[in-house]
Amino acid sequence: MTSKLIFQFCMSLISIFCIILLPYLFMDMTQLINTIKLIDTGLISSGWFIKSQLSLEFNQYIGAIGTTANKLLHILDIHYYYKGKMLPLFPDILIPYISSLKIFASALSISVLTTFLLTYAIMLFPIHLKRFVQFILFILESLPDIFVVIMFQVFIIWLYKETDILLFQITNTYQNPALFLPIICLSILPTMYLVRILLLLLEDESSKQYVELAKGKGLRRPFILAVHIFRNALFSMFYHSKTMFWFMLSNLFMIEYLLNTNGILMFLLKNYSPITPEATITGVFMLFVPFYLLFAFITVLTEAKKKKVLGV
Amino acid sequence: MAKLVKQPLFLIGFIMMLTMFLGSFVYSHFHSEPPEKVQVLYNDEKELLGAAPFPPSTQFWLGTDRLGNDLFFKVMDGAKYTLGIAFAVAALRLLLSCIFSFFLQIMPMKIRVIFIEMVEGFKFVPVSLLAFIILSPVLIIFAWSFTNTQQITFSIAVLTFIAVPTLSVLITEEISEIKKMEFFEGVKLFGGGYFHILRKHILPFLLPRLAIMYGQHVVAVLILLAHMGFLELFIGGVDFITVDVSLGGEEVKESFQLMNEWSGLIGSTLYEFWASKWVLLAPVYGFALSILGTNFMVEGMKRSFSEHQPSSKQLKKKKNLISTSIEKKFVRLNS
Repeated sequence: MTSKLIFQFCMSLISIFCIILLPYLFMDMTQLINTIKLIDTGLISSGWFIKSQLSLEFNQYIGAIGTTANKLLHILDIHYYYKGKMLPLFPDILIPYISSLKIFASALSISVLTTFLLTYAIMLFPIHLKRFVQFILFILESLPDIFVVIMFQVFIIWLYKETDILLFQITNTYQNPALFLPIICLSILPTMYLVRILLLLLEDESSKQYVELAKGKGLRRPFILAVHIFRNALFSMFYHSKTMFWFMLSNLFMIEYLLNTNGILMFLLKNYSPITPEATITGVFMLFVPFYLLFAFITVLTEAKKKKVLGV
Repeated sequence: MAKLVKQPLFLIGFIMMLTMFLGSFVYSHFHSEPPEKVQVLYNDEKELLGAAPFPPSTQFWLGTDRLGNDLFFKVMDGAKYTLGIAFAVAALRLLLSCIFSFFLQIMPMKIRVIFIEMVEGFKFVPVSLLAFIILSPVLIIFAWSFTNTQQITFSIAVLTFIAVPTLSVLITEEISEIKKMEFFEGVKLFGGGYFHILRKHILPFLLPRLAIMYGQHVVAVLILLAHMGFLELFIGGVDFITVDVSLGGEEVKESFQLMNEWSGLIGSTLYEFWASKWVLLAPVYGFALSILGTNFMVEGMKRSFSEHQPSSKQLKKKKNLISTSIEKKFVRLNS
């Protein structure tokens, strides 16, 4: 299992590396990069006189792979390009990186907690109310992330205008970053997703025989649900963890952008330049590694548990 | 197919999408000229009511932008481009992935495993960030160097190919799942040719799943288009017009779009959000409605197909019934 995970880890790193260098495959970079440097230093105002074609440049791509891999070996010396200047990547990237991780971790814990509370409450509802709630959840989950985030923002401002209650700080300042709003926004959609999955799993689990037995013993439903069913359903929920991470990461990207949070994805977006792909690659690796480790940890845990349950 | 129509969710979604897509064609057929720009508005006593942008009202359903253009017209007119792109790109993705998964299957096991593991890496990077990294050199950073047609073809190609690796691995997995079914032992024994097996035994199981995947990818493309709008990556490229000159002598440029495609509408009105939020909200409503409609269709398809094919649970129940009845008989004979 571990050897498979390590293999997967290395392969993923290689594929991320190759994808980010893709612009080098499609256009002749040298001329374009020299022109953009001239524009950024103010020597010329526009490069309209250069007409280049999209073309396949295999040699350039392979060369770029070589030089970039070489630069990645000296990871502390990596610079990023910003408007004509080369700035060192470390420690500039660390502050947004830590703030992103903070937002992600708190949103994850908030959404997991609310999921447990919500599903427990919903499972105790009468069946018609439960179906209705499930339908509402389905509709909310079907909406795109940008819509939910923007609507949430508009709602908070509307509430402030009407009642003078400002629920959270919505503007970002350097000393006082508004962390609460992105955390709440990020936790909304994953919560919907998790609640729906957990409800399905719980319903599946409730039809099993041990639940009948527990009922026969005269145990109360809330007790059976909390002690027996939940524990078993939780185990299957780990299988959905990967989809969940993916979903949250792409939400985080949009939320950082829309709420102007000073996070790592925003940093990568603002400072992306084909001149320094190694800076972008380092940033994406920094995102990828902790998430992959967490995911690998969960996988190893569930595999161990599965072996124990099956008695292999 | 008849069962599909009976699913209310599928029907609602289908009607929503159809009205939006066909409605857009009909609407722009009858309103071939955009409605007149309204810069200022007077009431009956010739008193000044206000100047553009106007908030949503009975006269302007979604409000107007700063130049006085009716946003309802813009959104209705843009629907056919955005939805058309989403339908076409999703179809292209599916087609290419089917072909690719065919090649993936005939490849030796080792290469296949390496490919599948490499695709895993895609799952840890947001798709919109990848799209930005690949597209922004052509559409933003070196935009001055490429022609419009080149930009359009390149962006459509990237939108398509960005999902092909993941999708082809998914289709390969589905096919190997079908090949594990019990009836497949018999199919192999009869010794039909590759294409015969594909057509007669695999496709009937694969087609419903492909239909669901198509719906899911229409949603994915729409979401990606919306994100691209926010990142100011416009499919058709973009013209910048100078609206102001700042005190330092720098020209303040704003992006300006000719085609009313929704992601372009989002990108070109981002700066309006805090002053007049309805300008940005109008295309966002469009995206939300169409994504909701497609998701309804996908959910309806899922429900009707799961009814159509007996699920493993139902089979188990049937097996239990059969086995218990046999056991009973057996017991009776013995006693």
